[in-house]
Amino acid sequence: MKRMYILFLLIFFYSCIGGVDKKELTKQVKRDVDLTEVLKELKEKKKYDEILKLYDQRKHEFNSVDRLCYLVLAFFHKGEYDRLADVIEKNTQILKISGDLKNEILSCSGIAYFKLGKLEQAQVLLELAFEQGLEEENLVLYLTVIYMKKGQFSNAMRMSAKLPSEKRDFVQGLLYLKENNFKRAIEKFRTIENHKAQLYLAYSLFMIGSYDQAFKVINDKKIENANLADILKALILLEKGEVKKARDLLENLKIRKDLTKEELSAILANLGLVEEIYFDNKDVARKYYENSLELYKNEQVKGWLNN
Amino acid sequence: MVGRITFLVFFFLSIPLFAIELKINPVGIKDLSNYMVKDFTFSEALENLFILEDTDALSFIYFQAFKKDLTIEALKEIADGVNNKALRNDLIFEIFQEAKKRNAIDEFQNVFKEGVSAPIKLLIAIEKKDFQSKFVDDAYNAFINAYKHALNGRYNDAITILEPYSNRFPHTYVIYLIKSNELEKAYDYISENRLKDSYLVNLVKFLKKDCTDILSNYEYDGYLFEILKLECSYQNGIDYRPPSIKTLVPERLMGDDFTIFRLFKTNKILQHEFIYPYFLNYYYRWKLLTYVTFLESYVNDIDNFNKRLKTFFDEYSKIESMYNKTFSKYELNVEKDLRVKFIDIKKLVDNVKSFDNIKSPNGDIIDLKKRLTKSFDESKKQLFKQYSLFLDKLTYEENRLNLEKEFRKLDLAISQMKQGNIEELLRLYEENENLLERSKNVEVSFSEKCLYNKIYLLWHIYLSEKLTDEKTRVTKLNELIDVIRTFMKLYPDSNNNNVYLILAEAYEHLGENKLALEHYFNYINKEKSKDISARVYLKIGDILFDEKLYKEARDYYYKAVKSNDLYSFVASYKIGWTYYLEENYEEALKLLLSESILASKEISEPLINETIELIAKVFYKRGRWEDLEEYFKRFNTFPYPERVYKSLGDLYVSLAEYDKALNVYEKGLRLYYLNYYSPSLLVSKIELLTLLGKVKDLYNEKVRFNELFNKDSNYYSKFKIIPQDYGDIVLSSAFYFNNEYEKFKKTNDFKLTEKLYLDYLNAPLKDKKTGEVSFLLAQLYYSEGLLDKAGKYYEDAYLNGFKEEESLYGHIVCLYGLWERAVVMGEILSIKIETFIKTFPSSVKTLKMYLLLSYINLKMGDVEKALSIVEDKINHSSNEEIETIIDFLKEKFQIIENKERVAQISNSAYEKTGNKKYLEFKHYALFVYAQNFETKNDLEKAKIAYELIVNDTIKTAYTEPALYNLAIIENRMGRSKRALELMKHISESQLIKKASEFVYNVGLETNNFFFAGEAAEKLGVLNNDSTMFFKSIRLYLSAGMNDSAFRVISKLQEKELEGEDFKKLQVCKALYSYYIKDYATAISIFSDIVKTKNHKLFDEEVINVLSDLIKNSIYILPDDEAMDFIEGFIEICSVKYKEEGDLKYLYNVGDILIDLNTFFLNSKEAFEKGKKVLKIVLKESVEKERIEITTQIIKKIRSIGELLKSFVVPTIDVEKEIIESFGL
Repeated sequence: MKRMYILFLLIFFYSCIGGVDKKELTKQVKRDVDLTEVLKELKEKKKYDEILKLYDQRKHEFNSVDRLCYLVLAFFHKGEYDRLADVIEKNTQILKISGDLKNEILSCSGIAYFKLGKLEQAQVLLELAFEQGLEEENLVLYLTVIYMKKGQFSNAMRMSAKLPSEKRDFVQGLLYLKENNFKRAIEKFRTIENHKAQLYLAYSLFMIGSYDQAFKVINDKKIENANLADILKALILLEKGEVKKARDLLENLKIRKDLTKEELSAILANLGLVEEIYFDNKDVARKYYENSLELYKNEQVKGWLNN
Repeated sequence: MVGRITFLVFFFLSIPLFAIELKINPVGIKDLSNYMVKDFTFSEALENLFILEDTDALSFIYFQAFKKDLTIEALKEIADGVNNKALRNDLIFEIFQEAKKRNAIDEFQNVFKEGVSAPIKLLIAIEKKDFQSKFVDDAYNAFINAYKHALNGRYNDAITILEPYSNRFPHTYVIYLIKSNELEKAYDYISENRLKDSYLVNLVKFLKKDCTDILSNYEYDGYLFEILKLECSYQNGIDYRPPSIKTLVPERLMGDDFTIFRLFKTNKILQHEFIYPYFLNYYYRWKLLTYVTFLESYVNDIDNFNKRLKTFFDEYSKIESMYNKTFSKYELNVEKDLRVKFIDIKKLVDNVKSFDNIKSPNGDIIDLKKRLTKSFDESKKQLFKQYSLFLDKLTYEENRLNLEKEFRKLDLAISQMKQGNIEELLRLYEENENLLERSKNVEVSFSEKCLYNKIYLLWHIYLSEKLTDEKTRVTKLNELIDVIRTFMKLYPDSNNNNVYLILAEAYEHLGENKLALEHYFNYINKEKSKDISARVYLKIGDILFDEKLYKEARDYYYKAVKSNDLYSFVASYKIGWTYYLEENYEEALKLLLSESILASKEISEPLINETIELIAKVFYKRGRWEDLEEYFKRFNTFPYPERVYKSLGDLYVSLAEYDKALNVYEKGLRLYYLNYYSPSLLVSKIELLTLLGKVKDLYNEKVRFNELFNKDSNYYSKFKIIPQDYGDIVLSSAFYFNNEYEKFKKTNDFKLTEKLYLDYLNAPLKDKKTGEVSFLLAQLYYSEGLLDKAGKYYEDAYLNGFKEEESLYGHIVCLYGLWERAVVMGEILSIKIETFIKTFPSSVKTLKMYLLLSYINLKMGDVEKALSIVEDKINHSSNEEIETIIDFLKEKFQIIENKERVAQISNSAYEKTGNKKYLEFKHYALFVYAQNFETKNDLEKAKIAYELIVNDTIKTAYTEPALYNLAIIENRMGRSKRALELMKHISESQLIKKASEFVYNVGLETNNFFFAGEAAEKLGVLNNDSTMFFKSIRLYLSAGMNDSAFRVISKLQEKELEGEDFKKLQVCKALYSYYIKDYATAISIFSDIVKTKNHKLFDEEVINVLSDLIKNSIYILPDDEAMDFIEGFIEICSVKYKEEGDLKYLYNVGDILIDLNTFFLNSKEAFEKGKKVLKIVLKESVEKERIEITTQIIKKIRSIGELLKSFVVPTIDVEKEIIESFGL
């Protein structure tokens, strides 16, 4: 930096005295070349802050596609997706560059658009990157999510198939879950040992009415601090006629701090249902339903209240 | 390898060992000459000895040359002729060795008598193994003692004895230490005492495996040491070559040449084909060169040279002296020539002597050498020639001397012959004839002597033959008389006058007393100048005595007495007879009781007896035996008064004057109790009492005999003998009192018997029946319960070989009794029993012994040993014996902890015999074994034990109990199914009930309804209990065994039950119909039952079945019946709910009201009522946590379209989950 500063001083001094000759032009070219090199070096060292600083100081010199590419990458890594989108939209030729940076630019741009919620642009850019032969795990996952979000189940399944086996089964299990295809989801989750997969396995089993199996998975795998697991446990107890135990469990769950609104809402709704069915306390049940609805707009509960 | 070395060393050491230690140092010349005689000709040896210039050589070489052919006596003569003391001693040792070789140590002793040194005596004792020999020197006593122990391999004892004298016998001591493996001690001893025998030191090192130490010592230390090094190298894997003989021998020869020489002789290994000849050649060369070197060195020092020469001359003078002495003995003519040649050698020395004149060392040494060598060679050649001649002469002379020797030997044999047997006499006769022949050929006049010998031998052959055939006898005597007559003709002047005596005796034998008398008188005339033998006078006296010319006879007998030789007593005795026959008793007694008559020491016992008998006869004739004492007082030197009493008593007995005889015996005994022959008086008295049958007196006298003559008696203390008849008398009396004791059990008899037995055993008798008496004594003690004493004497009986089996058994029985009283250790008893078993393996008592041994081991805590004995015995016993063994095991079963082993043993017995009762015992043992485990709560082991019983194909009384217990254990261990299976197999009447109860209860508990059903049926049969039959039907139905249920139902139907039981049967039938889906029948029966409204018949299952039937099949009934049925059912359920409070019944009410509401007039009301009932039940079931009812009601409510609300399940945000899970 110090050397560059001295270089600027020299240029300035030279321009003051008004003399520009061939030598001077050569030096100018050389200085331009030097900035690109500097950016490249900074990128390699992942010093994205330095790139952005340089950009702030010498915006006018970021006039070539090369230099802008480095800027795009810096924006991406620093999470400044809006500015990234702005640069790309103003300099679309960036997406047409060739060379080493092309794939990186495409995937980063695609992800940035995904983050910005611009799924169409994201899908285009990521698919472009994918077509360029880039098969990074993240790229596959983003594309899978995009397809899922867009309801393109088969595309999502096809894309997720490119993941390593365990990740693939987990993602595909979730895809089946989303499709309410619990039997297929169970097949996928059964192969994975981690807690989340086991939780979703228990969930899927519950959903198909295999209460004993679900209860066994929850108990045997000891899924810790998973509110969903406990809620499932309570519901299973209810299904098995152990009403008191289920009610106590729900009561205990109710006061937990880490519950999502939906979870708490479900707990309250179910408590209400217990009161109504087993103890014939319709007023108490109503109170529970109301509280539940306040937290989360569950159409099912809403229906009960209206009736 | 070590063994070989050790052998070599001991082989080598054993030869000089005693010699070295007893200071019989072999001189060098001895070894060399020994060697030469062995390996060279005699002449060569002699020649070589001359070269060696040794003064002792000549005498010694003759000794060696004749050693093999001469007698020990002749060898002694040679040794005596040697002046050099050391060499003489050495020769004596050589003779001893020779005697040893010939196995003639006795001869050696006879020849040398006391004239040998103590070391040789010790060697003799060693050779004869005479360990009783005593020496003045204690060290020698110790040595012989130690040797005795060493021979028996007891080296430790040998060391202990030899230790105080180890400095006297260091090598023997060290060898014993090595032999007893006390290597450390041996090594220390050798080091401390600095024994020069370095080989021994190294041997100990070698045995201690200290090879490195040996190998590191490369200094020369004898050739054996080199061999040892070679062995060590072999053991250590090192390539070691011993140094060449050239570098080893010369130096060593200067100091200890003969030691090395001896090693070469004795050690086969060293006699290597290269080393041995090389060594010998070198040795001679070395000797010659020594002289030359000597000359070479000493010419430079005239004084020393002169001194040395002087020594040489001294030595030569000694040789000369020896030479003269040896040769003079043989008186040979060639002596002169030899002497000349000897002087040739002397000239050689003179040549050397001439050097005395050399005053300067400038002599021509080379020339001197040549001259010396030449002189030696010439001398040797001449000597060789001369000695050959000498030997020829010697051979001729030897032959002559040998013949003479043979004559003398035979003559001596004949003259020494006393009572030769006929074969010996005939042999001598033949030899005499042969010599007679040979003596003629060599012109030696032995013919008179030979002919006399012939007569002498013929007479003795005649006497020995003891011919019974009169004709032959007369012929033989006449032949002899003819030969004597020939002799008399041939040698009328012969001095052999004995021929007259033989002739006289021959005539006497022919009964020609007159001719005999004539030749006895001829003999007396011929032998006038000499003393006539008393025997001749006796012969004459006897002839006159036979002619009843007592007075004349007495004259010749007195002549015999006068001659005062061996026959004087006989003569006196015969004089006594002449007086007796002339009835001159006073004279007879005077003579017979006189001191002189018995003064001779040579009197034979029969003659004394006869004399005593004669005295007795005299007293008898005189008719006053009471005077005896008076005569004995007068002739108080007469030594045998008691014998006269005895003889007189015997005389009275023979004449049946018994009272007198008894008195005489008693008197003699009282007066002369402490005389030698006094026991015979009491013996005779006892014999007489036996004859007279006076039993009481007899045994009293016998007891008295014991008192008077036992070992504690005065008689014994005086004579130190026990009378000959003592044993028989004491024993017979002991048997008598023993018998009395057995009959009447009186203490006095016991004590008397005991004393007699003990005195007998105590008496120093020959051929004593120690074993038998010990046995009887043991029995006596045993009958009194004195086990310790009985045991001791049984043992004595056994040790003395009397009824060994019975004795040892008796001993064991006593020991066993003592062991039970804790007086004797079990180990001691065990040893005795083992001895019995080994000694009498086929005895009938052996098995008993085995069992006793087993029992003792059992009591001593060695259960394994105890049982091994039994097991082993079973494998080698008959069936009968096995039964005894098993009975033993049964008897001891309670104290045997290891029941499993007992079972194994019983199994062996069973396998061997096939007898089932052994298997039963095996099962019993296993059963107890298992029960013990159960008590300790070790179910696994108990189970194994029970299984062993159960798995046996053959069943016993323990099989089913084991099965039962096994099932109980299986159930306790959580294997109820297996337990039930096992129990099912129990069929025994005593157990079947318990087993069925078990199966019933466990079957119910574990939902094994089939088992429970079967068990219930069995119990029903066993107890004739209909309730159990009903239970079995219900259980069969629960297990789906409808056929079984039907079978029981049918069985019950046959019984025509009434009342409650009938109704119960109806319920069962209805249930059966329901289960076989014959709903119509089921409903029909139930319909009737419901009508009875006997709610007690309806249990839970019946209600459930009814509920199902009503819901599904009520339609087959007419409406009114159906309605009645439903109402009845509702009523029953209501009543049961009220009684039992069980929600199930109430649920059934609700359930039926909802499902069958159409049967009611107001169906809606019924339906609502049903719902209401269910809601009540639901609330209560939740409260009471009756989960199954809760779920049932929920299901029911949902089924009628109520309660469609489902539980709320939170949704899952899949996209979010992916993004969060993968950190996108």
